[in-house]
Amino acid sequence: MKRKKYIGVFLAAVLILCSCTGCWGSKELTDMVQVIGTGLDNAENGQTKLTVQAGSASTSKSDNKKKSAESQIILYQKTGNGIFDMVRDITHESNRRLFIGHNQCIVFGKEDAQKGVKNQLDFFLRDSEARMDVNILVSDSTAEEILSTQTEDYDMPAVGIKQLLEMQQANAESVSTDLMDFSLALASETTCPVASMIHLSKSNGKPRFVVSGTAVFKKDKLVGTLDEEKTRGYLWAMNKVKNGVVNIQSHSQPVCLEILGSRAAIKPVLQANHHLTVHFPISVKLGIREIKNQDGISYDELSKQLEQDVSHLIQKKISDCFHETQLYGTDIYGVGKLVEEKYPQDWDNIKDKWDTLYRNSIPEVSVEVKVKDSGEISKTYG
Amino acid sequence: MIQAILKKIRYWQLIKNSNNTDEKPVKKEKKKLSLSLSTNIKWFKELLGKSDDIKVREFTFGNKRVVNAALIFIDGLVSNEIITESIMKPLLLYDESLQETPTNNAHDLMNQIQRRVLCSGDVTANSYVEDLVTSCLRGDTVLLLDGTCQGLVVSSKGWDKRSVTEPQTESVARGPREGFTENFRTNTSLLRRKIRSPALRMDSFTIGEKTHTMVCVAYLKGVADEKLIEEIKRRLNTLKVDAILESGYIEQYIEDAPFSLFPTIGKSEKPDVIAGKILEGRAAIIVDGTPFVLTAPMLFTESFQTAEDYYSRTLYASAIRLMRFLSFLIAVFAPAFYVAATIFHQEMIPTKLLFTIAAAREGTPFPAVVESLILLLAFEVLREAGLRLPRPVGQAVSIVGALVMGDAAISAGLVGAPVVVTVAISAMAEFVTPENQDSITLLRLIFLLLSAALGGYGIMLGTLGMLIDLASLESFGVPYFAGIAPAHSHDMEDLFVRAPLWSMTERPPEFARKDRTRQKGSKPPFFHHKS
Repeated sequence: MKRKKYIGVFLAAVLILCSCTGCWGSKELTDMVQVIGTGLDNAENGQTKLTVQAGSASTSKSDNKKKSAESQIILYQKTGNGIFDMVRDITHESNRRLFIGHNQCIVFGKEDAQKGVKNQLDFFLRDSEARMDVNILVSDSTAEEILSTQTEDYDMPAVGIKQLLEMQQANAESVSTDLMDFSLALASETTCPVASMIHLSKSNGKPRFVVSGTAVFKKDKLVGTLDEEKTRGYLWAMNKVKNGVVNIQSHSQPVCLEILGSRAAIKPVLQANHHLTVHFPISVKLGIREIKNQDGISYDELSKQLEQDVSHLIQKKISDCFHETQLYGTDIYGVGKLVEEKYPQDWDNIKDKWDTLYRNSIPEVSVEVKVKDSGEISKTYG
Repeated sequence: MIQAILKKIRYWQLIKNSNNTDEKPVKKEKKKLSLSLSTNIKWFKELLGKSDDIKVREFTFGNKRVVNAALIFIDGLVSNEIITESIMKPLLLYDESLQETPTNNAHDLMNQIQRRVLCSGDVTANSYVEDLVTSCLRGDTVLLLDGTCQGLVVSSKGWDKRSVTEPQTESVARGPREGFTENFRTNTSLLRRKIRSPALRMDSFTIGEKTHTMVCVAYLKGVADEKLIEEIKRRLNTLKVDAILESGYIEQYIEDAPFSLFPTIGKSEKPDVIAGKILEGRAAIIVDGTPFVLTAPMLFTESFQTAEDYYSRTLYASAIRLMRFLSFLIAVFAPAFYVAATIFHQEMIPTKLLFTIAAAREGTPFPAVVESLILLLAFEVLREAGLRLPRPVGQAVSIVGALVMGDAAISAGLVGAPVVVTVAISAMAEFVTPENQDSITLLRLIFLLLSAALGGYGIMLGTLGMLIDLASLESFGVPYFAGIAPAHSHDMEDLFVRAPLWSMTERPPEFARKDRTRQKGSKPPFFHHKS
């Protein structure tokens, strides 16, 4: 009985104590601005220039009573050594706290990326608010240019960039890397991170974001870029092509095919003399979408020809891309990791000379293409 | 104030200690009738006082031997037709010479009147004044004869009563529309008409020293657990109160956990619902003067079941059942979740939604918690007002309150639109499970405050506390959370989904201890086709 009483008193005390803390750590939405994009550029004296794109909800009482909610883009810029320091510094000029839980993308300026991004990413990996699904991009020029641009198609440019990256699945010609992928690759001894390239294009005098091509990093430094063709080759090999278009000249006319599905793998084979062959088996399913003139060619004949042509094309793209990465000496495929998994005994011996081993390895691409869908409803006349 | 609380605590301790020593009530000597009619009438008048609705009709009858007699009844409680046709007429036309066996004394005469003369279905003899007075107050008529120390109680109840109508609290789209009334006998008859089995027992009590309210425990003998029936009767017998005006009185006196947020005794206005519960092995407690019939034991999951679940087809019923569980969660957690997400866990909200919410919150003067509290309060006020006001006015009030005030509050910038939506959906969801209404209202508030103080952690703590409470509650010896914990394979037939009727071959294991079989192999046609 007595004990029960004590337990009751204890529980009551805990409950009261809990509520005594008040709203510990609570932050009202109205007291914060949401960071949606961060850009990092080189500054003088080895400092970093931080560009923060933040969205703040503003209410404009346009038509008397009805409040129309409009998001307003605010740009903050700081130059300094540490990102955390700079983020806090912004409170000097902003009445609201920056909240980076909704940061959509981190954009690196090209020069900055070439110098190495490791120290700058550290903040985003440590901070409790920052998330791992933030996209990593490399600007063709500076990050500032990208983040300070307001395009007409998105009211929040950084959110637009994120959506743009998500759309890239449909063309399978550019990569989409988030902080998780990037930091995992950074942490690996052999694998090299990639990121998507972004630049501004002018259409009718109005700026527009364009995502194309791949930035290739060695360790944390930008060493080169892959163009769209080679990026497709990279994506074919990484089994990341699920949608997209294949254009090909067949029977001396352009044929447009849709990728219905693909299945790829990377299989490294280590010879006794420590020569590395990398096998890229890939099978692809295609459907014919556009063909100018099919007269006189039977479907069987056509599809057989197309299968052959496309497999050559894919083969070329994959090996082209591989050769390019060999030039940079960047194992963006994670071949090293696969070798380590497959040949754990040999790994210790070849670990140190992995770079040369990779540069000298031979790709072997075997492509299997099936044209599944003629897209044909009936014979066309006229 | 503190002194008053301390006094209450001392009172509880007193009750706790006195529980064990169940003292027997001292039996008061009852007064017997005398042989003289005038004395008896005097005694009656002493007991009943001078109220003008008490009628004493003195008359004489008999042709061979003239006998003085008196009818005592209460005007308005009795049917005049019964008194004239079944009592007065036969007595005044009584001809002793026509009888085969002559009567020698008044006592024999009374016997003969009881057996051969009165045209009433229910005539009993009694010789105690108090009992006779009680019968009078129930609407019966007392017949006294000169020279006997016995009175006859003739059933003559006939007062104005509401007819059987559709209950307003539990309206259905499909299913019987009749509901219990305030009349005790009507209610028992409605139940008898649902279950025409001799096993349906109705054990009656009279509770309330002043109100003498009829209370009856209805159950299916052989199906309901006998221990349960005994326990209910034991609890009813311990009641020593002066008045029972509604079944809520009984509920509060006999429930297991008066301070829990959850009700441990069920209630319904519909005979088909009560019959269903009785058939599952529960006991029903019918109280005179109210259409609300209690059922015990009650399970938490019971509040998610409705009569229509069993009348409509399986798939639809199951989907709706699941939706009810969902709406319980929405009703309890929606405002708390909103507050926790907007002031603690902004990263949880999708970016676009966050901007929408932020835009709506922009310029509103109060913190999110206060906004929610204001709206919750406004909603409770509206509901209470809508309930109390006369119906036509009530509607107007709800429209003004909900539409005009809500819209005005938003456009005036007092509250944000998202919080109005959250509170509104929570309030609507509450009405999906009306039995949980009381508990939801309080739970919602508790969770809101917890989430305001501690965010998601607070909601989790509260949920834990709620689950502990649910799991530790008992209703008449049956775990309140039964079905979920402890779970029984047969519970799953009628918990989150409602299995096809033909597949529910056994009664719920929690109540029916003896006769578990509900049906034997009544298979639907498609099974016959296969075999």
